[in-house]
Amino acid sequence: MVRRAVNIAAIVVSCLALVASLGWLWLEGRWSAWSPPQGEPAAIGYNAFTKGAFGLEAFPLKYAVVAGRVSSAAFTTTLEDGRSLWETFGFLPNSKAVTLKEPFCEGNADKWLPYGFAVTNYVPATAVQTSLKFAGLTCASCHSGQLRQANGKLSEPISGMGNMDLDVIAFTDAVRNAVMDPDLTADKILNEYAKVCPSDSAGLIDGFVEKFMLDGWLSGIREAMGGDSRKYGLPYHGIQMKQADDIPAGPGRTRPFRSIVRVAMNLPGDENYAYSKIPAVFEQNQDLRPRAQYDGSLGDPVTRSFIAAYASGSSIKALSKPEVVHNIRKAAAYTEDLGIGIPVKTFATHFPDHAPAAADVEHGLTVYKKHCADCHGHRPISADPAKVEPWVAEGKYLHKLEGVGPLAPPNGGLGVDAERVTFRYAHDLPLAIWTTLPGNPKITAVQEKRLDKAIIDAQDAGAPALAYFWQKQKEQFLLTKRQYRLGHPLYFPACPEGDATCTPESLLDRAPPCALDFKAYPQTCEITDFEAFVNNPIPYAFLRAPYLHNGSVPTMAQLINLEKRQPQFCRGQNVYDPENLGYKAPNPVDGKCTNPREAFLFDTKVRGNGNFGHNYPAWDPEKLTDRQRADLQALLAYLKTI
Amino acid sequence: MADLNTQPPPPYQREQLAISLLAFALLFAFATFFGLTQPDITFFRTHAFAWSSALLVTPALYIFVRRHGIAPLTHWWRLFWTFAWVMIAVHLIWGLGLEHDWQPLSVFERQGFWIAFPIFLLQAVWLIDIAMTWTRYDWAWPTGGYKVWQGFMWLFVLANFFVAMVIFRNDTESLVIGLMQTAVVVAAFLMRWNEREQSL
Repeated sequence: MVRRAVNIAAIVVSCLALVASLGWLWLEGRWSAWSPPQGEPAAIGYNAFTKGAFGLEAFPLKYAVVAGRVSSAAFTTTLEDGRSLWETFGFLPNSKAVTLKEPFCEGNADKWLPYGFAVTNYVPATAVQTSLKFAGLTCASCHSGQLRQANGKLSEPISGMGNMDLDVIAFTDAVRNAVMDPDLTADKILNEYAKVCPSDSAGLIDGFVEKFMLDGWLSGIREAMGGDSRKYGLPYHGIQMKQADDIPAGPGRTRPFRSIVRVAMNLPGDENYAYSKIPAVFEQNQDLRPRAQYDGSLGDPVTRSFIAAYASGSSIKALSKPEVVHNIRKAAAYTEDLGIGIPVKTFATHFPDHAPAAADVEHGLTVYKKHCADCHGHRPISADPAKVEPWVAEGKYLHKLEGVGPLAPPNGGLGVDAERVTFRYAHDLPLAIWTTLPGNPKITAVQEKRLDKAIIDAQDAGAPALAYFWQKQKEQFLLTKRQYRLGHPLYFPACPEGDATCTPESLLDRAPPCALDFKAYPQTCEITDFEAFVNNPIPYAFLRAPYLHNGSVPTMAQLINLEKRQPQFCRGQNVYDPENLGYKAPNPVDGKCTNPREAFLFDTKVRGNGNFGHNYPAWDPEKLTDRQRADLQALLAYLKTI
Repeated sequence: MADLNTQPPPPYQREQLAISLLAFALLFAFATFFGLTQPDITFFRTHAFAWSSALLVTPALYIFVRRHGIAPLTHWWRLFWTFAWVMIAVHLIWGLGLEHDWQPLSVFERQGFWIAFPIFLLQAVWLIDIAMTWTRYDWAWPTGGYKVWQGFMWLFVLANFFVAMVIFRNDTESLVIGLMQTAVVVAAFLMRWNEREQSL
């Protein structure tokens, strides 16, 4: 009798396990169903750019609803000054939120989540898709901005402009603080959510899955972040998140190479002072901009977008999902056409009262051609101030690399802060990135050989630890190769596709680090590591402030030496300065920035923050002649129109 | 037909189905749900289904060595043999469908002919064997050509698992399961030899 009961119980348990497993797999198929959107390329690109999943899920949507309640300590900077959690960290507000009468819940997330947030169902890192909704960052979170006028009025979000309010590293620390809170549990989140949104209840199955996945997410992210603490250290909290001494990047800037060293090389990335302004991404068409990044280290815009997402925390797995791959490609294509086929409002449209006089613009073009066009090309003057003419990519030094640091010419050349390109591991990074994504079987054989060569080279150079590092990288590569048997969908060749010499046979010589001369033109390696900056066009210059790669010069007037560059200034939610083309960045008082909305002290003496160099025209702003001043004022007028 | 054995099959007991099905179901559930905690769910599940198949086929390999030619094969053998095939078919679906995007040629391209070909051959001939096992009256008492066929299938399946799990040993789990399977088969041979010695 007992034996019979046990047998029946075993069969029942088996059936239940099979039904649960098969049911789950069926649900997974339903949750991950996706087909490429149809419609106008510009609209598809815009949606990919502003709403597309990129594997950058920050936290579950229900948690986003109650984060300010259940994790207020983690997100509080003490500098809120009446701002929402999102605004305090510089995310662009959702224009629909102001008029929203009902509570902010999961169902109306599109009406209150900040601009540039996507609602996805990807679990962070593993990219498993479930019914649990997540709030994730998109391209637009960082690469869309607003112009704040002195009267407090904000422009509509401008796609392609860097978000100069965004304190993304501080936000990351706040999130890390929040999820590592031992008191945060799935029950606490769901109970609080039920209080805020009592009418929003999940069904039986979805409710169970939600609780199960929330628990899984919390334990998984804690474990990951706990492990990562060895690489990342503990997050800063409270006022520290807004202090330059603790988080030196500040608003509108990131530390992309610290991030990529951490994720691609699994090294701490300490001692990295490569601060980078969140770049504008207009007119990224390769005819105009054959090399991407400030240092021209990348060719293909898709590779650029992949690396941006990867450095920001997207996993290789997430980046292989068809939807994410589609979004990366379409968003990259969108930036190629943004400002060309896809219109961007001009300076005169935003600031009609400050539109420059036609005569000044004409004069300015002649000054520009003398001092700027050789490196940047130029834009012919448009008869209609609301439109721009196509950029003319002609110039003696356009698209060429300008050496800095050790590669700087005897006269100093460009002379800007070189930390951006001279950080530790800069020369190992290209190979690490290239071998992050396995190619097809022929390519992977070359990638393996290249890693073997790196091991031998390191041993020959008397660097056994580096040889060990490459050995470990190869082990990881071999595992990834098995995971992506057809090649990773975002694999990028080491030399441009379509180049007849870019064959698997020649790839070993072309693989990173490419040994071409930095002065060679055109550069034919997909990824390079020269200590140099690239001369590129500067379309929509008025939307590129603050200037230089590290955002150390608040206005164009200062950059062109019409005004003296500020040694220190306060950054945050700065008001746009249409006169001087840039941001009104107040000087600190007694070395402090007391306005809670502009609390970040930008000190150009700090390593990596240097505002020197790019001294064109090389005139002393304190000793300008009347003629020089008139020229520079005209130049500034012209720069407002491009 | 001359070789067809007309002896009745061994008696069926419910616990044979209960335990083999339980093993299959729990291993399937493990691969499905534990995969959620892994960095690459598809990769993990593909491998977990293969490990599960190796675990399920081990009792069948053991029973076959102990009984083939000297005693009737049992329902234990038939059920574990069958569930192991089902699991390896699931492994194929995951591997070919999700990792190779349903492109069999890419398996050959990636793994080479001599690794890829036996994978597909195994699926096909093992399925034929399973079909015979469930349709032939003499599955437990094979004689003649069918007996040879069963012996060949045993060897072919064992060799495939040994090469995949022990020789290639793509991960620690594979090696451990492969060595364990090998040890079980060796133990079965030793026990069979010992019984034969004692009966002489």
